[in-house]
Amino acid sequence: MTDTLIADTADRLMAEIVTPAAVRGLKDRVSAAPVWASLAESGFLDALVAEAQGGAGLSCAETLPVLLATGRHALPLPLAATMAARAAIASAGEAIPEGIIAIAASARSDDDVLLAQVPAGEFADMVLVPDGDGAILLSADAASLETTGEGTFCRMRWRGANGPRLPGFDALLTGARIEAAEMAGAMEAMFATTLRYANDRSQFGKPIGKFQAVQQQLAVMTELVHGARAAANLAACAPTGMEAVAAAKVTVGEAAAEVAAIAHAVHGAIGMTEELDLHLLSDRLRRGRLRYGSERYWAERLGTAVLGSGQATMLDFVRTRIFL
Amino acid sequence: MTSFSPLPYATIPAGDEALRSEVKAFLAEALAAMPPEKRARSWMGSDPAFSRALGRRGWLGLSLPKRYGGAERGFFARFVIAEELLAAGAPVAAHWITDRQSGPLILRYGTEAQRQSYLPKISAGEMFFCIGMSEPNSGSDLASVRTRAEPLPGGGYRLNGRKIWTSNAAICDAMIALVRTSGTIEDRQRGLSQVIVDLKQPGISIRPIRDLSGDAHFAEVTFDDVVLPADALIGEEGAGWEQVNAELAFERSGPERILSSMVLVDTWLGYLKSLPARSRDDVVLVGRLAAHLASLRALSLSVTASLVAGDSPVVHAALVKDLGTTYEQMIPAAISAAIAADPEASPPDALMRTLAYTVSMAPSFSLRGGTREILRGMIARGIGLR
Repeated sequence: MTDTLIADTADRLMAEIVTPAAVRGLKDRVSAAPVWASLAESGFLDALVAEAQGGAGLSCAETLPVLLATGRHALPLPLAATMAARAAIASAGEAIPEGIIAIAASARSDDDVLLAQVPAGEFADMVLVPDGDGAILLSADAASLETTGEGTFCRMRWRGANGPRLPGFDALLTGARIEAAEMAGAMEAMFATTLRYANDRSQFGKPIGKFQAVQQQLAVMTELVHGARAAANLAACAPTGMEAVAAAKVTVGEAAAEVAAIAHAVHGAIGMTEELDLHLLSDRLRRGRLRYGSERYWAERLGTAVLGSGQATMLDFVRTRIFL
Repeated sequence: MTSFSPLPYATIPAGDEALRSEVKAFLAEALAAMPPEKRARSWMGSDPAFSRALGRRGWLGLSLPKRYGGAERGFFARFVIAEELLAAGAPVAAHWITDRQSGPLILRYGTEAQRQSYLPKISAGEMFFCIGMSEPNSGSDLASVRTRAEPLPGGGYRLNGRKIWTSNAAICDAMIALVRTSGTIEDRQRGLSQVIVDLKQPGISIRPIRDLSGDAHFAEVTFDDVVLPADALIGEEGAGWEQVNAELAFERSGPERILSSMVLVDTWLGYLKSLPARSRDDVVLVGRLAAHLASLRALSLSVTASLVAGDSPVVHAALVKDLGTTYEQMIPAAISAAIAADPEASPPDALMRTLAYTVSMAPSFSLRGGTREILRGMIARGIGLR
């Protein structure tokens, strides 16, 4: 599949299945089932699984358009996480389970109780939970689940957790990379919506997009959206590189705050209504910034790497550690 | 989505990347004795002898064909060399604008005779051009230029008027000036042409203007009945506006719109590494600087690939410049706050001088080459708002 073909297919699929009404209705595993069934039919689930293991053998860079499309439609289900998890499970030689797989951001053990913070955990059949320098695959049915009430993540608790182990799987890094890509997509949709509104809405006898003050804001939004896309691209091209993923989460996270603010500023009061779909995107960005480490967390890791590296200059570091 | 889509991701071809180590080795030696506050001048610091040394090594005119003395290596090779020169803070001002836009302009619009006359000298670092655009009453509103090249009956032109803020005019051999060759100021973009003016001829006076840091890199250039030969015209008479705009894609998207504060960054990093411990805020700032440099570099490379493909991505270039100069300006502000976060700290004098220079010059980053407000207006047009 070529790049545009994947992008077109993903866009069509999301537009058809992941409608604003569908997104509003997604609350738990039960409500997720019909949407998930349609997504599973698409064939994207095994896009990253190696060809020898029955998948399409695509790279993260090649599947980036799918993540951008899920972000553009503010899909709350962990489609990209399931794709990444299935590939990792297959490559570890384990059997790929049915259903939705979420990736936990962190976990800690207390006696024989394992407590994990799981974005999109309320939809998950299975969860990949960090464990030492890898992850273990656990069934959601065996966990008790507690939501925070605002959709960022769930707290899931297993007693005597046991499941197949995936050595080397970096759950936090994988989650951050996916989140950055979907946020970049959400920002693209936010930009398109805001641009349309600026052209449609008239005040003082002309579209508000004719006013320089509004134009300058939309120009800034354009820049941030392009920058976020470039950052998501870098991470997709170096998916296991801490530096590239950190750079993406920082750039995208910082841009998200500003992009959402401009989108709402241009929309005015109508943007604050439940009825308008804009908040589905701003809420997607809010959750994205909070999941898998914020820009501050990743900036600190990246900064530590810069200061600890033997590279002579900042440019040398960025060139050799992020552009792979 | 709108018609203004992101450009595809691009990487530097291995053959061009291979130039880097050679350039690094040369710079390590050539700049060994130059203090950071001098290197912080980036592409504002000039040394014609240094530019000629680059020419001797074949590092100028990289995008020009071999038959005109160029290296025929293309824009990615130039990108690699530009990055290294800027990161090191090499004094590149003498040749910078010539190499970046005058050479490509003459190649694209010049006659065969003009190409043969100028391009080999450009590639050798033996001829430097400045760009005559702004005038005392024509800044962001470039189409309002009044400098006039009146066609003479027997061919050629008589040039009268004044250009200002012309970078490096005092050390340049020639100027490529945007002038009016027909019509009046009301005709705006129509009737403008580009002419090559030999700055050593009679009727020209060059008055250097001291900037707030004490340097005098820009100047005011006055033309008083200067007679230009017919072949001073570059490109088509009356097509000056379109030609100038094509030039802007070269001018606005390169590493110089990202790396202007990089000597300060590296000087600060050196200081941080020398400390026994670093604050969490400082580490976070270092990470942010790295993250944004990465995404800006990716955008700049995408525009470079588009130039290689023969396109003129003027709006994407405007986007890179605005985003890049915002980053360049954020750096001295953030490092100021970081350095003085501890009133008992005693940062090295060279770092303080480098910071002082960069803070004082930072406002110019979003003025030179098209102001932030003008660029955002261009982007607004690009996304269909105007």
